[in-house]
Amino acid sequence: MVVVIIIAYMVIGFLEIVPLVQQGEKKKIVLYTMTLFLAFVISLLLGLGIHIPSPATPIERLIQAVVGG
Amino acid sequence: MKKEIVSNRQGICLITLFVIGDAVIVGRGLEAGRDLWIALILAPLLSIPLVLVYAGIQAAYPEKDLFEINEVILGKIFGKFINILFLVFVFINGASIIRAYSEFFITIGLPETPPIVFGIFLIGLCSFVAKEGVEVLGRLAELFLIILCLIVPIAILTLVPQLEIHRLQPVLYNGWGPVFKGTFSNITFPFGEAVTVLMISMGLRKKGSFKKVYILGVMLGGSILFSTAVTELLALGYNTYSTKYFPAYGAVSRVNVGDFIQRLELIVSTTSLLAGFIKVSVCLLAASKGVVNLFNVPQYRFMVWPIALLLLNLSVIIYTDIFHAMKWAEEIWAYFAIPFEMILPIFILVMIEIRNRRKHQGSCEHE
Repeated sequence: MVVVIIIAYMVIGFLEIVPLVQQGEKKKIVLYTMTLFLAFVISLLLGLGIHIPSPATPIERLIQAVVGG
Repeated sequence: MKKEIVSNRQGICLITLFVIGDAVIVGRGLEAGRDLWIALILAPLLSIPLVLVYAGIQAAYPEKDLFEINEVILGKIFGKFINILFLVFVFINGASIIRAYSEFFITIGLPETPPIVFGIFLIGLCSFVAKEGVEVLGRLAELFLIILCLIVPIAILTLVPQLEIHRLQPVLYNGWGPVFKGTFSNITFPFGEAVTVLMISMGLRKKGSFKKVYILGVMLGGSILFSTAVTELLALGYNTYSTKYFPAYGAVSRVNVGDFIQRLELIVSTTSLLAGFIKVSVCLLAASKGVVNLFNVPQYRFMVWPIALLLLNLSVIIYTDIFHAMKWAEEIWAYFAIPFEMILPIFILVMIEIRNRRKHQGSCEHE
């Protein structure tokens, strides 16, 4: 599973970063790499079966605190 | 950068499909009880003022998306802050839709499959569309709405032998209170989400027809949602309707015309996926435009794939299971959506008006 995730992200990254490098726009490359890396880390953690806290929970608490539900 | 323009008809189709989205497969507005159908008549009508606000914002800056408008109107720093809030809204909305479809297909027939499998295919196709931009999305919406308009009436007509009018009675047994609660939750769930269409900067060929397009889109979507919900209620009865996660599927699986036409549910659920496809694509496009705008990069196309992967991951971790998803949809979503769907757009429109008046006054004084 982990190997599949790594290969999939490498393929996507290779296919998309090469044209960006050819265009030579640094800002785009940095932004692209950072976002892809974030997604890759979350996928890897999911693949390893590590529990990731949901981003919905803090919003839920906030709304319940405001509304009083 | 070239402008992205769609025709009026494509705009209407896009908004209609966006409004239908995943609302057609899940049961919504359950607070209204048996009088859900009244809530579904009131909700599109009451969301017209809201939609007029969206159309007003878009008409003031026809070639910009909401993120760019925010920066122009509210200034660089405060605008970026508001943009981050809108991005949170879009990400959670998109992830919820992907999760809703995953749960739908798991619940109806593929219980052993991990939910991410459906998400991978859905988001993969969506990112191909989102990469091509708004024009392709408009053309696709035009095509998909025709298919939807063929399949939905067929499903309703084949259900006619199962329908019984007494399942809607007694009307207004609990008074108007629950009906208004249901109306409110219906405004926030499918209709108010049309604010996402603002974020993809859907330019129209004829300027000044934004109001018409937005209102017609919401009304058409509302009428399709109303007809499907009434059919489901008449076929299942309220008690069964409220216990099912996916009442549309339950209703269509009862189709039986002369022991010959049966098991239409797969056709209908696949058709409903078309609307969800458009909705996920719009969310994806909005999210990538927002992220790109946040970092002051001019183009958005190169960011579609990483954002798609982020949305996919988020759709897996956002809810622990279907109970959590249902609780979120029923209790939290309505309150979570109010600032983004009502307060902020009205605030932005007021700021645009103030700005325009000042400009006007300034130009008058110069003369």
